[in-house]
Amino acid sequence: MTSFKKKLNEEIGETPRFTKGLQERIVHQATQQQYKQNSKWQYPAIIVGIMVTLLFLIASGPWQQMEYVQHASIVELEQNEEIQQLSIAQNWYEDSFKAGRTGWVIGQQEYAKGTETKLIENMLQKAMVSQKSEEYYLINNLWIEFSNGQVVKLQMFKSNEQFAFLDIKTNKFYEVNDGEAVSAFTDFNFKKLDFNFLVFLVWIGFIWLGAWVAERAVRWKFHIPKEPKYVNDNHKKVVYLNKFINVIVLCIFNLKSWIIFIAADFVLILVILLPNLAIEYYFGRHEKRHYVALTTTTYTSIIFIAFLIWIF
Amino acid sequence: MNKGGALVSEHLTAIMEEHGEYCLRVAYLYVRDWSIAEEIVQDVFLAYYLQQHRFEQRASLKTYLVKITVHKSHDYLRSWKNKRHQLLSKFHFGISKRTPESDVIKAAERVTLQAALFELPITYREVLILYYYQELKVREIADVLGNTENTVKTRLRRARQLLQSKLERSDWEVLGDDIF
Repeated sequence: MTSFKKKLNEEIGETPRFTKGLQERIVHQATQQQYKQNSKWQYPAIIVGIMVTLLFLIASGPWQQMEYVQHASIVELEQNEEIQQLSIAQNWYEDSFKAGRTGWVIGQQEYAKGTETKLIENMLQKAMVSQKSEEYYLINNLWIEFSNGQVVKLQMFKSNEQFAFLDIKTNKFYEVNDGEAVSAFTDFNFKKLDFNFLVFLVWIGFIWLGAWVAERAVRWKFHIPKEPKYVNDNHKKVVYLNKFINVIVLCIFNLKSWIIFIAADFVLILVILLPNLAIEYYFGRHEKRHYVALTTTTYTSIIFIAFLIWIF
Repeated sequence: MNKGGALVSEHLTAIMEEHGEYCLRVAYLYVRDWSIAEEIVQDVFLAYYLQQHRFEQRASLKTYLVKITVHKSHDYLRSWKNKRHQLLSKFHFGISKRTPESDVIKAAERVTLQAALFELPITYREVLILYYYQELKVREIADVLGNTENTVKTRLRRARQLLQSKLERSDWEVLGDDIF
């Protein structure tokens, strides 16, 4: 025994303080708590519940409830109203639609009222209802908002030098037979998406490197061990379950083509990162493991916002 | 209580018999209040009982329990309950009558090791408690506090200096067995 301990014990009293009464109180509380502890299923249930709710919100989200006002034909609408906003997305598959409200969809070209909208207006004014011909092939999806707030979604077809449109809502097919309108449209040099795959790969490399450095820095700063990877078996099981759910969510997003919607991507990031944060906090907060998850969440959110600023 | 529950509580009782007293004393040296220290120790053993599967025997059970006690004590020191308690204590001392007798008693108290220890900031106090009172090694203290060994050594050195300035020479000799 050190002299420090001896002296301190003399001062604070050497009579045992940890009484039988205190022991019994702890044992009683422990027995009561055991019943609560057995309900560990609540945590995974809450996480799954949150994810299902988020998925439900995505499914019933605003991107599937665009405002459509009944109109006789787009030609009629075109003659009375002007195009305020226009989005064009390249798409060759008729069973999907990739254009949407401006500022909400990744990978589309967006135009405010100007030359581009005038060219589309011009084409639509000259369009005539006709039977859909097999010679046409799909090239673009168009999302158009008119000055009265009405929104239409059109598929744009091409056949040699001819253009045609299909109104998604009314399923009416329109051909443009006016050569001047068509040539004015085709001659115009529309701005293209400036996408360089090499630059994109370099960016991905930097982002990955940044994430790696951030994780190392947090582990170093707070002395968070990398090994063992899991605090215990339960931690491992929950992490695997979470990864499995993440893969399913990713597949659903991909199959439903929700990945192009920014709001859906935000939800996707939350669905992936928040449960991870909750799991790390629940199992590893004593070792500050959740600091790593918190750093990853913050870093990913910042990178995603930076990405959005970059593409718009 | 079922058979399994009885077995577990027997195990818990055995653990408490062996480790309860020093955990309680460590908690007291953090919070300076026996009733609060009892609450903390209660939480410590409950936490151990409910999450004992987490104890992977990488460290000794003593170090593991001290680690939980230190975390729980820190939680209390950071809590609003403690802040309120401190505020009320200050208010209470503020209105108490000062007499020559009370001044003499206070002066005598000030030179005790305990009083000097409680005057130190928690960062320095805790390394002294863990090193000299709990007799943990620097490496174990680093593990308990989540710091590097060098940080612990630096804090120990600084804590010794601070304590020295507050103690009489005879009392200061208690820190003579410096082996780190």
